[in-house]
Amino acid sequence: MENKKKQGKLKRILAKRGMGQVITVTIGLVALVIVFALLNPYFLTGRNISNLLRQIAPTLLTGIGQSYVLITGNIDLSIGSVVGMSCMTSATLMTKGVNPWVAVLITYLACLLIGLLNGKLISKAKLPAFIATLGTMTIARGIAQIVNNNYNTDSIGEAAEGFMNFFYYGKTLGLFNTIWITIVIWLVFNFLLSRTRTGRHLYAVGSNMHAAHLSGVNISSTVTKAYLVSAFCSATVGLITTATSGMGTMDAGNGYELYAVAASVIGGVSTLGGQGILLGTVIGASVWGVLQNGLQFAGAPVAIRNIVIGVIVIITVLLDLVVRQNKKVGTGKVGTGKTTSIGLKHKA
Amino acid sequence: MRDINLSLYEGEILGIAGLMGAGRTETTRAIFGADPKESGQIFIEGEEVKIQRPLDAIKAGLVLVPEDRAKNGLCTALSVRENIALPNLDIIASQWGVVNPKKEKEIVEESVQNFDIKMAGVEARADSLSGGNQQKVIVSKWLARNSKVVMFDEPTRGIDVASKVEIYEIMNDLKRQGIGVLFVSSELPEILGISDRILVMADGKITKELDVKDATQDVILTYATKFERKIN
Repeated sequence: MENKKKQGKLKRILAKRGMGQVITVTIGLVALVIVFALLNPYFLTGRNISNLLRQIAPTLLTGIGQSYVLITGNIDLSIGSVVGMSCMTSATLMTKGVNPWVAVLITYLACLLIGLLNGKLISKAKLPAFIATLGTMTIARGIAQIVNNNYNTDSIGEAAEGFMNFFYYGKTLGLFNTIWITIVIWLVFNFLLSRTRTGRHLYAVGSNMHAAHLSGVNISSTVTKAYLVSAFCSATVGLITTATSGMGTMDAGNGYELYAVAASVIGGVSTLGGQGILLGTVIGASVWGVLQNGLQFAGAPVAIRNIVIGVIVIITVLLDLVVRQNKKVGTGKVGTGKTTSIGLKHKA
Repeated sequence: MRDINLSLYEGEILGIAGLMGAGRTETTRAIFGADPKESGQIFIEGEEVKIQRPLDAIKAGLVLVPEDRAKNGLCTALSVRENIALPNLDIIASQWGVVNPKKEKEIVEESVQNFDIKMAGVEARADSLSGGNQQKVIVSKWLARNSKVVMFDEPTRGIDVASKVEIYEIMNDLKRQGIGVLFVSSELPEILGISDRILVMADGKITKELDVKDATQDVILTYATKFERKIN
């Protein structure tokens, strides 16, 4: 009896949305780490792990935003440009003598406007997410270029030392602040997604917009919330980028939207909407980071790393589609098979 | 669709008959606030309620079991639990919007028991259930809250005979509890068998109101095709 109860609990954890893929990918991640550790003894040193975590942070942060958007059945292509816009806006303001924390606030507000625009274009004006965010991607990159008259900024200077330590160089309790920031943001958004009404609405909209609408869910505000979360995460990554290099670069964040997609889908967030958990995004971003870092150690050039990541993204999305299709056929065919299992349940 | 005027009494089943395209689904959706409407007034228990969107209707106790379960009724990839909880999150979640799992479990389990929903468990995907049980999930999610009016749009389409009977029983149950039931169906025998009153629609208008005692398939068909005959 006691044993049965335990089994039931384990089953429930496994049956939790997306948990299956998270476990599979975690096994893959462990395998990758072992391979790279065998190839290079320095891979598993404390220093490299610490660096690795800091390297993963931007991908995980943008991945959290992209996961939110993917769960609603949309996509955000503007992520990389918003990172660039955040980087350039904050750095330009700081070089102009604005207090760094005021600059941070203005940067967040500006980036959230892009998120708001994304959300409203898609949910109110009914533009396809792909087109709407392709447009805002170009707009945000344009803003990144225009804020400092088409030049990268000068050094943000000593006045911004506190800012740089807060977002990148400083350590708290032995861990880089970047990692702490990522952990806090993950905890907040994971709670929002898994434990709140808004989270339920996000999944419902992604699973079936019509049914969600008829269940009283406000589609527009739900989709907009997802894009706001994404813009917030991208803005944070932009600030981290500014803190890292101590200046604003116009092409900062180039291609990050795809890394964010990679982290999400490798971690089991479906591109079809309604499925995935943020724990998966952590594992997905880690796979991405370990591959980047490990291949770098192994001496592979950037080009090869890009190709490997691209191939992995395509394979995971393909697997997701195939698995989902099979499931659909399965339920259609074995309607009676399900009934048998119910009979058993009734007896027990 | 215009000039639709209907009243529904508590503890009554009002059938709406008509041919495909007569405007029955549009009527239920307009009442529910699913599609925008130009004008119109809705009174529940004598008080006017403003319904601009489904949430307004739900709050007023007016709910819809829509046509086409898979497309409009269920989040098919989500679990039975999540589907039942979805419109009831205002009850399940705290004022800050945090879901209370214990409360959720209570409400979901009660719904499953009340409607005898057969499935592998509340965590099973909604689309793994049979058509009849899917329909019961939709009805149960609405009755987990104190709904006063339940509109059914073609609830028995594409489900097996045994489940059909169960759906009829549910409607009769609701009637006994004093809930107003609006029942849209294209199948004349079932609408004749279960309704107290029948409205016949044709071309977006109500062409006849019939007491069930006076209604026969022939009479209904006459009024359902009235418009077309005029053309001829």
